[in-house]
Amino acid sequence: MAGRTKGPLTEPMYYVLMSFLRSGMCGTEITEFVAQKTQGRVCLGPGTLYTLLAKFQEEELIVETEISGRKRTYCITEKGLAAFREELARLRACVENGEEELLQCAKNL
Amino acid sequence: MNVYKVTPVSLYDIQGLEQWLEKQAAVGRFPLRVTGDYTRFERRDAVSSARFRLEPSNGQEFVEPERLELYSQAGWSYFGTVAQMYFLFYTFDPAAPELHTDLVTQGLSLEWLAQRTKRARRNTRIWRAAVLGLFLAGIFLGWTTDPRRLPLLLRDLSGSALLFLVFFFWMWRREEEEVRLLLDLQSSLELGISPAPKPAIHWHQWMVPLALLTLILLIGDKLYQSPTSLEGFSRPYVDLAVLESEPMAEYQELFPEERPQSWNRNTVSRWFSLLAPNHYTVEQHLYSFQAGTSPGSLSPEDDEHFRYSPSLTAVYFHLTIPPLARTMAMAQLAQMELVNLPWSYEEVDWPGLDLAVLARNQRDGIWQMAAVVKGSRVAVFRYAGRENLADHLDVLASVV
Repeated sequence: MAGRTKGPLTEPMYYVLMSFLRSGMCGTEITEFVAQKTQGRVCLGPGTLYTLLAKFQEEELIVETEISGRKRTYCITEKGLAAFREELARLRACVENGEEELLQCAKNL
Repeated sequence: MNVYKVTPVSLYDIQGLEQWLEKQAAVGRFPLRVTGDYTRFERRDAVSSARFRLEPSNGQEFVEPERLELYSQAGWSYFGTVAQMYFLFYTFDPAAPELHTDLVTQGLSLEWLAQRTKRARRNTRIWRAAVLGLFLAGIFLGWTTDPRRLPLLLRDLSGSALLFLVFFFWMWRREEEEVRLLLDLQSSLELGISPAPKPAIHWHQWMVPLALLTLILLIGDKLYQSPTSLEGFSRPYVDLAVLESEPMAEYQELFPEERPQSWNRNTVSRWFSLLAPNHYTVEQHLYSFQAGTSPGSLSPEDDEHFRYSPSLTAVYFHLTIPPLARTMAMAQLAQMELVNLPWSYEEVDWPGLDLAVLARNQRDGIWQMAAVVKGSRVAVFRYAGRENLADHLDVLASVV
């Protein structure tokens, strides 16, 4: 997680942060977004989602914009966007590195 | 109908406690209240698919509505708080997703609890170290006051103090293990490592009974030590009346109408320790039939006259380590010295005894002491009266 010293984002962290890119979202919408985007590959448990929302807020990656009954809506911040871009760059580098090596491997074969 | 059960798993063993609650639900016991000591259940239909999950409360008293909503939509119901550490959720729906689907995030969710636990562990270590420090300071003080008495610590510490220390360190070690269990879980989750399933530590269920047993033994020991009447006491002891050359009486015989005070009763106190399992102290006071004729003795009466009233305090013990007998006898003599009197010691040879020591105070000659040792048997006497203990060594030697 950007801003923390514990290493890169995990897949659920990455997708939760991604869910805010287009618009503000509440918890249920985030779960649906992640399930739809990953075609069910990434399952977001309610405990995981709640912990991430609290952590992201604490690290100012997202900010609460609306409270309606039990429903809370959050938006991504500049810091959150930077964290997402940083993670995306890292993932791109990972993919590029992997593809390069795979290409080399294919040539050798 | 409610059922109470000792909570056999530590509150720090999250997985262990969850598994235990699930097992209880599978046999028709559903929790109503969960504490670190006991759990109250109500009888319901058995649910084999029940899942319980403990979520750190992060210091909150109530679950946030957003959290309730998210969990509820996923099929999880809120049960209540557990020891101000957790919120307990449960589901009977086998299709309900797990609360946590990311190990690292689950590890993050335990951060508050881990910090709280570390603080609690630090505080526990401080007060336990303080208790040990006081204990050691007490020993040091005993050493500096009179190092001759120090061997008696071996005897006195091998009784209820040893029991207390064993329980103290056992509890400490167990608590450290519990805390480590939680901290290991949290750190491995944060690294994204799924912790290997461990069997729940069920020693926790013995903690309360063991604490109670220790308390009962400590209280029992105190009651055992409390002085009781010498009447009917069957173990060997020197009868003060045998030492005296004139007939004597007990206080109650002379003054039956007066309520006997504790200081003029003849009593025995018993002690137990591993070093000296058979250890007792006999206190005796006798009174002359002649009233107020002895100005130099004890027990003042009218007109500044004194009734002669000798006393004998004697400590008897059998040691489980016989080579310590001499050391312990000398330490007991030092213990029984009246600190405001100067004492001189004289070792004498007496047939059949390993050691015979006579001690006299050099000021008034009323107080005398003696110690006799034979094998593992030790008897130490402090006498106040007219008789010369040296003349009665045969009587003193007969009890060891």
